[in-house]
Order: sequence, then structure tokens, then C-alpha cells
Amino acid sequence: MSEDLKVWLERISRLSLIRISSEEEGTILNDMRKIIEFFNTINSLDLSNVEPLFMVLKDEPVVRNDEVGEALSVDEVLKNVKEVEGGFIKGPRTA
Amino acid sequence: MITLGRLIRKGATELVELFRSDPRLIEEYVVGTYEVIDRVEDLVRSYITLRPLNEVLADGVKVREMLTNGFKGRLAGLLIAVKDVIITKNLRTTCASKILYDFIPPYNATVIERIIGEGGIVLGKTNMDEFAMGSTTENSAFFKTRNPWDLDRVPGGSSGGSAVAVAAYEASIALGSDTGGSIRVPAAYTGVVGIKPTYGLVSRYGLISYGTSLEQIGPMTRNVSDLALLLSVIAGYDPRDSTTLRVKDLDYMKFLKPTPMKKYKIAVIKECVGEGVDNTVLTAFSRSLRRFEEEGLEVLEVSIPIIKYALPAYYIIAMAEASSNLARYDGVRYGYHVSVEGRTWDEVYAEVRSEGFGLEVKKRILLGTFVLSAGYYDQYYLKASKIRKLLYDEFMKLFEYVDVVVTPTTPTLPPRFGEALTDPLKLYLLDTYTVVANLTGLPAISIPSDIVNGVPVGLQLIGPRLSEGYLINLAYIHELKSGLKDLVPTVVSGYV
Amino acid sequence: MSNLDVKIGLEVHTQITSLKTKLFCSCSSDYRGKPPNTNVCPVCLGLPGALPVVNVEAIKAALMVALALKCRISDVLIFTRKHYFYPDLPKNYQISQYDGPGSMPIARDGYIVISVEGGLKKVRIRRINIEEDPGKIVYPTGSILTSKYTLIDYNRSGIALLEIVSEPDLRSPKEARAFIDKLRSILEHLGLVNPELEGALRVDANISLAGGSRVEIKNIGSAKDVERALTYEIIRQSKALETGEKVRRETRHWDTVRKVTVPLRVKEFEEDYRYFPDPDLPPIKISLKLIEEVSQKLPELPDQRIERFMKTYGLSDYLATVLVSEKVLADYFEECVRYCGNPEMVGNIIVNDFKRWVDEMDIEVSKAVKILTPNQLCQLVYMLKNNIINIKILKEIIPKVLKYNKDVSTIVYEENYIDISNEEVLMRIVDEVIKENPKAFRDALVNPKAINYLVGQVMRKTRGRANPELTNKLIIKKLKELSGV
Repeated sequence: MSEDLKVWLERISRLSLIRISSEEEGTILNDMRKIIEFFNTINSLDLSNVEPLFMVLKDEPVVRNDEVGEALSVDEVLKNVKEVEGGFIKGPRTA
Repeated sequence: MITLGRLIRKGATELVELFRSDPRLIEEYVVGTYEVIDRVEDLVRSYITLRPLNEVLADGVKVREMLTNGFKGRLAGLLIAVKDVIITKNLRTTCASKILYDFIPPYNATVIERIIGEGGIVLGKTNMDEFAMGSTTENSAFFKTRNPWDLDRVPGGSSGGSAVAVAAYEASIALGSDTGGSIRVPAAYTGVVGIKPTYGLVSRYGLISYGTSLEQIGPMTRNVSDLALLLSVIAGYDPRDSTTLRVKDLDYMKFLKPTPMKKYKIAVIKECVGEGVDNTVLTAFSRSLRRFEEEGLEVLEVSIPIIKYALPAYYIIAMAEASSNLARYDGVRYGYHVSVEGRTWDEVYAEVRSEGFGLEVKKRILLGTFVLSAGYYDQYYLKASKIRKLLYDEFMKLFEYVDVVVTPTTPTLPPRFGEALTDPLKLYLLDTYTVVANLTGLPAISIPSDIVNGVPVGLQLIGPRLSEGYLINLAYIHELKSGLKDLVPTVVSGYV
Repeated sequence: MSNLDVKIGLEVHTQITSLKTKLFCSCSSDYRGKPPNTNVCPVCLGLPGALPVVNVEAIKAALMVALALKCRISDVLIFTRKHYFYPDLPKNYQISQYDGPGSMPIARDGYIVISVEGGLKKVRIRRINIEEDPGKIVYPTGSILTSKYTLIDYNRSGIALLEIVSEPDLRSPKEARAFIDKLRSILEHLGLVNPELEGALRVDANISLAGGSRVEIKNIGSAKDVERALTYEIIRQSKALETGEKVRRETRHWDTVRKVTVPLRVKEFEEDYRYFPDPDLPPIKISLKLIEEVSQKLPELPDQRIERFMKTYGLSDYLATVLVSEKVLADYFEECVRYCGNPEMVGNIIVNDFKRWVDEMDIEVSKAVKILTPNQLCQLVYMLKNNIINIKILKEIIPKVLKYNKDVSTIVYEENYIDISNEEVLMRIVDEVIKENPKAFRDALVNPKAINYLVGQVMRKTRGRANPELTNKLIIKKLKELSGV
């Protein structure tokens, strides 16, 4: 990771939409550095001939039949929504 | 107090039988539990949401009526504490996070449906590390839960609240979740029993996701019989969870035998009993091994060098999955909200997520995003997944000639508050022995190994896929020999 | 506009409208017209703890398309998470597929054959993905760019989509259109997609000129608009090149009202979707047995149908191709031929007249075939064949039938198109009059004067153009038949 750590943090912040306040920045950068060093301990391994395992294996697939089931009532859907308008969920601008 | 205590002290399996023969006892039991809670909850603080007594009593009355009419629910009348990472319909579910501080789910997790179907009563939602990210429950956004054995020590995490609720007799049984040791570590620190089942044995529908490919819901109880009972109820295929297994036999009670059901060969991993482990823990560990040897079981030593890469591989994968699973929290459909009008989505989302998530959660999301990002995916996420494959293969090979692997559950005694937080890695190292089971999907149980200086130490047993029965058998035997069951921590000793 | 080394690639998103439920949950797929947020469940709303389970029919549908497009099918089905934040995406990631390490699309490396000037052309298909549709955003105050906030309806969230991506083999807007038309016809013939449903087919077009930057035009709703948008883009980009201006690599939006492409918000940084295999969805083996099963059930595809039309009905390549370009049209043709034979005549009428007017009047073909029914068209064929009308008259009749939604015979009589001394034609009118005047007819059996009344009615109906003597003769003939004399 050759980039400057701060620039790096800004890019990751943008991608994950997590803003770090200036107070938090110092500790976070420090912690990140240590943790990434910790991650980098796996660099010493040569695993070019190993297949990755993303999920521990299963035998039979689980699929669903094309049959209509129950939907939530609109009250249940909107119960936790803070801003509602005419049954629609109010959201931020997209432009 | 003593008369109330008589029901509270009883194990879940015994209570279920008692209630079946005399359903009116449920009321006494519920009142008694709440009396204990009244006295200890301010000290230990297990519950984020505790249902009012009258509501729970009403549920108890309903179960009583059902029992009188011939209902044979396997958990009928029992009070269950549920980790606040599990969805409960119409009962606030927060994940110990500000971002879900007022979330009222419109549906039940599958495990909750099964529990209710067997007559179980959910009395409250327990404290945890925010979004299950932590090993001490110190990362809760709301408050600290304290270890009932020593109020200056952590109860472990992330299922700290559930562990303490059960350890302090504030519930008979509890549900936790385990992504990297989050059931086993608090079980070890509080002297209770907890199991992380084989991946896919218990449905994750309704488990708020953190590390999808790593985690399972599991029972936390004061003794092995209760664990077998609860596991039998919650385990099994769920068509709503594509990762569940079609397992035929789910009766774990039949493994509660006082003698070995098989000539188990037990392995100790050399790399797990070396440096970094407290002497007190090692001593307790040796005592446990001797107990098995006394049963005529063979204990041998094996070496798995790759195991030292398990921890970084685990965190890379867990954080990657976390960054993905927590992307949905933006305040629009539920949870912590900021006004949207006039502002673009990236502005609004960044504000919600920055104010709603705690620091540890933010760190993990950032790091998870990093290890999945373009240019780094191969070096981190992909490589960690390869380490996972190697570990998996090693354990598969090992279990060809060995039946069970034992380790101390944690390398140290439960830390004091703040101790594990001085350095980011210190916290992660508490999971050293537990993450292997999550990476490989294998079942692992933690049982009390000893009490050292008034503080519990745990023993971990790891078995091959779907070997929960044998683990329960061995745990049961150890429990009989050690007498370490239904322990009473200092804080509660006056009340039960 | 010379061929400035135009390269066009298309990404088509099509809903699998034949499915009853969404892709990963059992909510109904029939979401159109429902009040907002009434067709949602924990899974498609992305509630914490909810998990996806894949619809088995969606897998089969994808395999059908893969076979029809002659693709290589993956032996395992893997879903990937594609991460980006947007209000219509409840989980802030889309479950999709990815062509990269750890994942693969369900099918790859196929082709579609299209008709171009001078013959046929193979357009390569790069990949087919299965993925989920996001919800719908409404802009309550102003437009996408000016609205102060958005309103979101998640009824559509989770609907099953197929993303079909072509290689940049297309060389003109016309070819692009032909590609979309052919693909649409294939999907219709497979019975998987009803393209007349709003939003069922969406196209993103990528175009570059003379090896320059690639411009993406997103979310175009019809084949026609694809042709228009690309034509516009070529002009826009050519002008820019002429004036020495550099064409930027960007994403644009086709404004279907103003008929121009407009730039969308420029992103300050490169989007990074952080693809990784979705751990909630274990890989599913695509067995040879399953492929066989799907293959057996494949209906007749457009290319096969075109060949059959040419062989069985003796149609020209051109006629057959146009007819088969829309399944409804091809079905219509075959039904007409069943009724009254004369395939070549029927084919010509449908292509040169019917379709031409349907397009011009902007009616949906499925509606138009209910107005000019096969029965109706056959009447025209009959009249043409028997020289009752000529081709010129036929060409006038058809648009009038479509426009006024009236019977062929009504138009024919009202507009005085035929000389009503043809006995058969006149007999039909007599029959109508008799049916409409039962009392008069019964009277006529006894009273000869009543016959005059009936003749009068026939004259009225034909605006005085019927041959009165012949009319009289026919009425008497009818009376004789019915009285058994």
C-alpha cells in the first residue's frame, strides 16, 4: 500500500460512506496501520496453487418453487420508516 | 427468596417436566426470575430490552392453558434470553447499535418461531458488542455488561449479555450467535456452556448478518443437558435459508450418556498450548485432559502449523462480509434517520452511518471495504479464502484418525475492563482458538474447565461436521466428573 | 453520415415476466399498478436478517435463453454481490453475477443472427447474467435533476432480470435496432417475456466513433428509441470530432421527449463495485440433466420459424423475417392462413399494409389483431381474390378499420367500395336484413307487399347501390327456402 494513508482513508470512506471525524482520524489511522500489518502476515505464504474456499460446502442446493407467498402489509413495511409520503418512502436526492 | 430460588436453580430439562405435571408452577417461576433480575440486573446489566413482568406472565398463563390441554412443547414455560442480534417480531431489536435503536421488526427469526412453537417464552433481548463485533461486549453502544463472577471483568463477547443472563439466573436458557467465538468466549468467561453448531445446522433467517459464511446461532445454558434440549429445538433445515443442511436426526438428548459412546481419540493442537497462554489456563486445561484420560480415552498431540494464519484470515473475511452486510443501514427504511430533503444520497447516508455506527464497527467496515476493493481483492480476500481452504483440508485430514480436538477456549482469564482495548490486536487475539471452527464450519463447544481465583476458565471441543452428538457426550462426561454445572457466581449467590 | 468506424455494444435488461414470483422471494411478480410498498417482504425490502432463496424457474428461464442464444453454459451457478449505494437498492448491493475470479455468468459466448442489408450477420453475445431489479424512484417536485427529494416504491425490488450483453459488433443504429428486435422476438417465442409490459425491456447502449472514447447511454425503453438515440449520438460525436473537440468518456441519458441525449452527473471517482461471491447463496450445480430437460422443452425459435415459413408457406426471406420479428404478428399470420389459406397474399397484406399502419398509428400489435381479426382479414382476401375489390381499395380499407374500429364489411358498404351486383355479397346483406327484421320476413311469407319493405331495407343498407331486381330475386329465394316450398 504505497498511497498516503490519509488519501487511502478518504477513498475507502467514500466507497463505504463512512465519515471519520477529525477527532477520530488519529486513532483510526493508527489502528488501521497496525491491523493491516497484521493482515500482511499472510503475504509470506505462497498459495498460487490453492483453490479458494468461499463457503463451506453443501451437498444439495436450496431453491424455491415459483409460488406466490405472503407479502408484508403496507403498515408493517412503513412501521419503521421515519419519512413517508402517500405510501412512498421518502428518500434523498439522486442528483 | 429461598422458596423462589428452588425453581430458579433447576435446570431447563427438569423445569419442563415439572411444568408438564404442574403448569401452575410457571407463574411462580416467572415471578422468581424477575425477582432475581430486580436484584442483580443493575449490577450486571444483561438486558437491552426486558419485557414487563405482566406481559411475560400473560404468556406464561397462555402456556399453562396449553399444557393443561395436552400440549407437549419441549420448552413449554421456559424463559429465554435472546441476543439482540436475533430478530423478534414486535420486540425491539437493536444489535446494541444506535443505528437500530428503535427498530421494531415485523417478523420473527426462524429459531424464535421454533422456540415459541415449543412453548418457550422470550423475556428479553440481551446486550452484545455492536453488530457482534467484539470479544468483550465493551463495544455495545448502550452500556457495559459485567461478569457476575467479578464485576471488574468483562463477560466476554459478543454474546456477553446472553452469557450473563444465564450465568446470573436471569433466564433459564439463552440464544447467542458465534462468528469468531462470540458464544464460546463469553461462555468460558462466565462459566456456562455454549456451542457453535456446524455451519448450516441452525437457520440464520432472522440473524442480523455480520460474517455470513462464518456465523451460527447457538444455545447458551448452565449445563449440557439444557444445551442439548435447546439445540434439538432450533436445529434443522429451513427453506428460507439457502445455507441450511438437510439433517435427518436432530435428537441430541440421546447423547447425554455418562460414558463414552465411542472410543474417542482426542487431539491437542501443539500450536494452541504454547506461548501466549496463561499458566492458569494451561493448568486447568491439563486437568480437563486428565479427566478424559481417566475415562480410558486416548489423548495425542498433533501439529497444524497453518493455524497461526487463521486469525488474520478470519478477520479479513469477517470484515469483508461485514462491510457488505452493513451497507444497507442508511436510515431510509428503518433505524437512525436524518432529514433527507434537499440533500443527495451520499451526503445523507454518510451522515447516518457516521453518527449511527460506533468506532469499532466503522473500523471494520472501512477495513472490509479495503480488502474487497479493486487491486486488493486478490491479495487479501482471495488469499484469506485460500488459507481457509488449507485449514479446512487440514482438519478434514485430522478427523480421519481423530474424533475430537481440544483447546483452551481462550488463552487468558477474562480481562478487566479496558485491558483488551489498549491495542486493536489485543482484542482480536482473544479469538485465537475459536476462529478455526468458524472458518472451517465445524461444530465447537465450550464448557467450564475450572474456576481459577474465583473466575471461570473454559475448555473447547471441536469435532467433525455434524458431530454435535459426540461433543455433547464428551461435554456431559466432563461435566459429571468435574461437577462444574449450574454454577453460582458471587453476585448471585445470595439470591439463588 | 459516413461510416466513421462506429462500434456499438448493447446491454439489454429484460424482466422474466412469465415468472409468478420475484427472483429471491415469493412476492408476486405482478407489481404494476399496485399501491406503493404493498408488494414487499423482509427479503426484497432488505430488512436485517432476511435471506435470499433463488426461484428455480428463473434458473430454467435463464438456461432457455442461453440455449436459444447458442451460449456456453456454466456448470455452476454463482451469485455475486455488486456494491453501490442508491435509494432504490434496499441492501445497497445488488445480487447479480460477475465475469471475474470466483464468479461467472450463467452463460457466455453465444450469438444472434440478424438481417442486415446484403444478408445475414452474426452478432456475438458476451454473457448472460441473472440479477435482481431495484425498486422505483419517483421525482415528486420537478425532474431527476431538480427534485428536492425522492419517493421510493419497492414493489419492483427483487424482480428477476436477465442481463444480456453483446460484443461491440454492431456497426449502425439500424443494426442495433435489428438486434433488439431479434432478441425480443426470441424472448417472446420462448414465452418468457411480454415486452409490451412497461419496463420489461430496457437497453443500455455503448457507442464509440473512430476508436474514440466510449459513451454509454442508459435506460432506453424501446428498439425504436435505441435507433434514435444512437443516431443522435453519432451526429453529436461527429460534430465534436469535426470541430476538434474531444469526446469524453461518459454516461448519458436519452431524453425521449426532447429526443436528445443529455449527460448524467459526472462521477468524481471510479466506481468500485467490490464484487465477491454472495455467501448467502451457495453455488448450484447446473447438471447436464437439467440442461437436457430445458432443451427438450424449447419451443420453436424465430430462426426455425422463419425457415419453416419459407419452406411451408413459400414466403420470401424478407416477408418471413418481418413476420417472425414479433411473435404476435407471426401467430396472427398463421391463424389467418389457417382460416383462408393464400399465405403469400396474407403475408404481403400483413407486412405491407397491416403492420405499416399499426406502426404509423402507434397501436400495439396485440390490440390491432383484435380489431382486424383473422376472420376480418380473410374477408378482405376473399374479396380481393374474387375481384370484388382491388388492391388499391384494400389499402384504403385497412387503415380505416384500424382507425375506426369497425368491421371490414361495414367500411366496405359505408364507403361504397363495391358494386353490389355480386350475388354472394348481396346474399350476405339480405341475410343481415332478414335477421334484423324478423316480423317483416314472416309477413313477407304471406304478403308480397312486405317483400318490397325488405328490398327497401337492403337498398337503405347499401345506400341505393344494390341491384333491386337481384335483391328481390334473392329475398324470394330465401323465403322459398324457409317455407320449404
